Amino acid sequence: MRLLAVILALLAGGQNGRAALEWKTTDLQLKTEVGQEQAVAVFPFRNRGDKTVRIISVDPSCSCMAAEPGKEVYAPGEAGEIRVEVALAGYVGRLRRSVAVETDDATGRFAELILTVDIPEPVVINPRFLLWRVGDRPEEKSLEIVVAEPKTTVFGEIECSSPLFHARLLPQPAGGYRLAVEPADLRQPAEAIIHLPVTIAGRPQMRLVYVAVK
Amino acid sequence: MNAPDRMNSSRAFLLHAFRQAGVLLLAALIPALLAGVFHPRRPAWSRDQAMIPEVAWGTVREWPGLKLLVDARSEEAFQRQHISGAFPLSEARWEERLPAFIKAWQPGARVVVYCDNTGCQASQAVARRLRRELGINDVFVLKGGWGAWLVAQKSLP
Repeated sequence: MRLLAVILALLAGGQNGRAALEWKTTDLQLKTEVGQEQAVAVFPFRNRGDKTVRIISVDPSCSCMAAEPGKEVYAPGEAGEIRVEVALAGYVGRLRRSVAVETDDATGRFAELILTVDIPEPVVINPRFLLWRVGDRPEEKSLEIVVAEPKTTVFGEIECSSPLFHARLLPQPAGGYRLAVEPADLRQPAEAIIHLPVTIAGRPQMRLVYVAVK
Repeated sequence: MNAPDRMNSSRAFLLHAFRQAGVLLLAALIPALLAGVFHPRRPAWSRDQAMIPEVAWGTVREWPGLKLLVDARSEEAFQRQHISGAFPLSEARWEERLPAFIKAWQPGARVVVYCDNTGCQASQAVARRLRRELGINDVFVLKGGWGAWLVAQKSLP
């Protein structure tokens, strides 16, 4: 019984130290469209304390992000938000980033806002690099191309930047494609880039695959 | 109170203390386990993305053979200052920088990726992409990143 009283007292003590800013959520998940170059997330909050709260700094964890509060000072009961913009160019898959918010609130000086952005990969090439060693026997190597939406994904004519490699795009019976590449000569180092033009839902794009003899 | 009674009394006291300590541990363990499984920011061991092993600068410096340092910070940070010989390859300029990285990489080379400090995630993300997209397995993340490297330079004689 005494033990229970101690635990309850500790829990009650924890409640007294509650931060003034109450966040609607500190963990947001966004889904983006193919080709989307920017995502915007908004973290709403309210000052539930009895004093004004000043936001001292808003510090994103990545140079790909910009974050700012609507204003600096929030009166008791006042609501606000932190708006976060994420540049998506170059990123694929799941992007997880955070924003550190510092305030002058003594009981909850710091808050960490987490943002997870799912960036769709309509065409996954795995791997994107094929390597042969100098002196090896010339043999064909291939890589797998997985297409998320086969009905709206169309590949164009592939091009290789070097005549030292021969590349073929082969549709697979189970869906997707296989890119088969064969080097002409493995007696000396060589490298090339294979260009795969692809139209996804009407948008022309380019995928690159790298091949090398080293 | 005679000796056997005193012994029984202290044994009962110890038993009671252990029982209370057990209850306290259990009370702490239940929310800890729940947080470990369900919390959105649970530790890395329970996330779906595999963590690339970290390696200290002292170890990297001593590694024999080929090594390629990769700077996963922003282009601006790289232009300001970087580890000598490091190669810029951030996710934001991935497609643009990848061909030159492939040119520089040699089979058997160990790749060490760094970003700003312990809290940054860019080095893990870049290292994962190097493994997944290029199939390079000898990829590591510099423990403590650029910050740790700066500290290591200050302690040099």
